[in-house]
Amino acid sequence: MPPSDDPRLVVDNASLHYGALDVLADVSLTVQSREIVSIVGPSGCGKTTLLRCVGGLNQLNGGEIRIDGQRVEKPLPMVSMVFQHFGLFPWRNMWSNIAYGLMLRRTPKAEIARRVDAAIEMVGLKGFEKSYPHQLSGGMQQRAGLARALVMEPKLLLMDEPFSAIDAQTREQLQFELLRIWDRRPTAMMFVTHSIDEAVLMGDRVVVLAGRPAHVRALRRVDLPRPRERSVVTSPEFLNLREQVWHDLFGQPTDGETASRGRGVRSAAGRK
Amino acid sequence: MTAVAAASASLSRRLARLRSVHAGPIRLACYATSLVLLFAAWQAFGDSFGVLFVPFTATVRALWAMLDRGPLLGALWVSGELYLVSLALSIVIGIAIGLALARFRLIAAAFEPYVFILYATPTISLVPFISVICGFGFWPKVLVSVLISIFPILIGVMEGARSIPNQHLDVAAMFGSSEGQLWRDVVVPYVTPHAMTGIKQSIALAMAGTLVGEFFLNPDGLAAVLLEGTTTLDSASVLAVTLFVAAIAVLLVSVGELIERRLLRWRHSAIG
Ligand SMILES: Nc1ncnc2c1ncn2[C@@H]1O[C@H](COP(=O)(O)OP(=O)(O)O)[C@@H](O)[C@H]1O
Ligand SMILES: [Mg+2]
Repeated sequence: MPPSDDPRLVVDNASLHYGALDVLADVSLTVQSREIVSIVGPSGCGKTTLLRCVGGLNQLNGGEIRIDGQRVEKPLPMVSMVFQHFGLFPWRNMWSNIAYGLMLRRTPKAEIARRVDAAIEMVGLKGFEKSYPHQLSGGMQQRAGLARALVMEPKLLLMDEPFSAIDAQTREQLQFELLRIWDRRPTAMMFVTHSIDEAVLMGDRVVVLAGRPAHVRALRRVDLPRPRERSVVTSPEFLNLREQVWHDLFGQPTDGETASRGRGVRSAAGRK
Repeated sequence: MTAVAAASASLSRRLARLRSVHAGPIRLACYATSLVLLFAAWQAFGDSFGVLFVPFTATVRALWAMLDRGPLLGALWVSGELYLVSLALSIVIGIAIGLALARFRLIAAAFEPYVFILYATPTISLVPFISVICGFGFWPKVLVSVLISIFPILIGVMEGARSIPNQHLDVAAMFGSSEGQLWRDVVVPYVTPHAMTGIKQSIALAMAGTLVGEFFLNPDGLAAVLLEGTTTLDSASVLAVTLFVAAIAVLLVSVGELIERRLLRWRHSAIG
């Protein structure tokens, strides 16, 4: 990490409600330009909502989000998102799904071809260019989703539980592949997950989001060495951090939020 | 868990079998057999019934005579023009209105009730009004035929365009799609299968619509031939024209299916 210049992303006292349902309350965080910040929190607590606001897909009711100093009011071109359910267009083959964003920008054909081919190589999908999404496994579809985001060379990458709909083995494989890709070209990344292990493994910092409405309950710095190797998950530091985050999430809550949190978690589960 | 997996495996196997019935020589053989049975039953029934319902062979003979030097080809020409014009209009107008009703809420609020009123009204009951207002020429007939054939397309497109998953719209927004690009890259490809389903039905309905239009407004074309056969109690020629129309309808629907399959290759898996 370089000594912090201006952060790439600033979320400043973000609040949001859907009708009567308060979802985010005064959430503040920053992401530096070469930093992965994990957002971890129970299902239904508002992680996707927060990420969508950063992406410009939802609007805040209070507070402000700035990317490179620019206020986010609509999706910005230097931001890419990877979706939980891949979000590939079933009528486009894999190559053309990955080329989608560049085509929208009317990038010259030759440059599209060069960049798309490179992205496909990077995520290990060579040979499947002509396959349609339904012919690819979930893991391969998310590789394509990742390539579609990376090919835009974004300054900020938003990941919404990208591996949670994928089987455990493939998930582990993809986690480390994503880390390798990031090592080669580190960018700012906001990595949303409900898995504590994944949050610690990926992040330089872990933001623990919890409560109803959700707020930042804890912020943990992850001082594990990069590149992160597989062996890191058995290191005492990793286990220790995982324990701390677990306690942040489920341990004795502080300042009388017991009741509201208990209710929040239950009602979120009921809504699913 | 395993029981569920086994059940879903057997379900998918059964589904695969169901789908494979739609392909290849088995399907063709079933089709041929049913035709032969139908014609045989017709033959037997006609033989025992006498002049008012002639057997299959007599019908084919009558058909041959009418094609050879009779009025059938000339009539086909007249009706064919009406058919093609009304089908083309149904497709173009049906898609346009369907999209407009789906994507523009105010238009839907103003006009959607009329669509369903018209859909529920038997078109024949409108024929007197149409003739009073528009006369008995070519275009009133087109109007009758369009009113009969447009709804499957219109409603299919409308429901299709309304059901575009948010996930696709999010991806488009995130990559900075303009409204025009959204229509080109998402709305049109997503709606195409719905439109094709409607068009296939309309291909057959426009046939019926053409005959109804001709029947009730200044008969000419195939309807005139049919009407003449009816008034002279020439059941052989009535059945011959019916057979002829049915054959053309089957042919046209097959063409529609062929086009559909080419357009929607992304839906069919490489294996199945
Ligand atoms: N469009 C919406 N309208 C109303 N409520 C919503 C909407 N989207 C999400 N919610 C609610 O907001 C809460 C947070 O949802 P979400 O951000 O998807 O949580 P997470 O991603 O952490 O699982 C949930 O209670 C959910 O039901
Ligand atoms: Mg979510």
